[in-house]
Amino acid sequence: MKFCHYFKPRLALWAGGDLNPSEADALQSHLAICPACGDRLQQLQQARAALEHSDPEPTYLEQPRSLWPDVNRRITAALAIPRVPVYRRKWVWRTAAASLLVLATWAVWPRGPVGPGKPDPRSTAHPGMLEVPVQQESDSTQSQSQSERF
Amino acid sequence: MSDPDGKLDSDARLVEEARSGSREAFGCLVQRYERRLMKVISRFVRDPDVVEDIAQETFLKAFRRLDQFDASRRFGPWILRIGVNQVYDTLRGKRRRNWLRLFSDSPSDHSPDPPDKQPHNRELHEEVRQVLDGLPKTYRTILILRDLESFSTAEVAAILQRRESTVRWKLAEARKRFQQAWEIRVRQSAGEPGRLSIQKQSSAFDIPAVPPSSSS
Repeated sequence: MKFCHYFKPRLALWAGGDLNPSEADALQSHLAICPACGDRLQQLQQARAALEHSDPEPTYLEQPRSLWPDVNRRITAALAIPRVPVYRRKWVWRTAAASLLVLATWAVWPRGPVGPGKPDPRSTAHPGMLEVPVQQESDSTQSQSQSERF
Repeated sequence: MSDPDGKLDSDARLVEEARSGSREAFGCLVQRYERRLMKVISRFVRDPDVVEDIAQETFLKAFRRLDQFDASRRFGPWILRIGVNQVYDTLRGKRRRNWLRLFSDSPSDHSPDPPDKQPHNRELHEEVRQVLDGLPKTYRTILILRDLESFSTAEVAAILQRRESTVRWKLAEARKRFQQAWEIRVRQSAGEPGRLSIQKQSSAFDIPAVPPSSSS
């Protein structure tokens, strides 16, 4: 059906009354001619109704005692504990010492000899032969300059 | 969270007084929002003791962070945001403890669910809860706040500190995901003879396609 891709995501909003009035009017016109979207809407409404009807308020909330006495007690307790400044906390110094130790170890750690590395792909060397690096670019530029000279 | 009798003004005044050291003013704020907060928390957590503990912790955090509160905004969404974050912190900690318990020999401290005084609705309630628990955190939170707690999309956006348009599209996705998961659940229950009542209860909510009232 035409425009279904446009209205499909809006069905869920419409099911809960969250669609703008102008879009809701357009959707309603579409629903009148599109049974597939009508089915989709009905499924959404059924699921939503199940969600709403499964909604018993917990019985302990019917007559709750106020939290304030307990909260007040906890605030008093929290304020009674003096806040230790950051520089006087042990874990700060311990973390700093551990970091320094790691850094120092890394700095003085002996490094082995450098390995052979990857061979140069431009190299034409074979075992037992003298390695002659290829100088294509410089050769071509030289011959070009020579031809220009003559 | 409408403002019929100048509640916002008095909230701002109470926050100012609490900032300047008045414990009574903060007590008024606690008494004003505790029930709403506990109701929202109880959507995520079953154990009433844990609900109360999270609510207390939320108010304690709010008290410590009063100087960070933007007085031009509303206190309600702010305290609910702290509450929802506290819920997820607690659940995360609980999951971690459960994971660690797998490697320990200590007996489980998992408390049984509180008795439900509405047994006829319990099965449906449990099924819906399990489907909700299976949704990703963002979608679950939006669905709970909008469809169970009936906050408007603007209020949900204020609680979650998101743009309203973002909340609306996430809400649409959340409803779609819930519907898909719910249908799978109902289909599974139809295959099990002992769980037919869920399908019956669910089909009792068959609603003709009547346009709901738009509210946005």
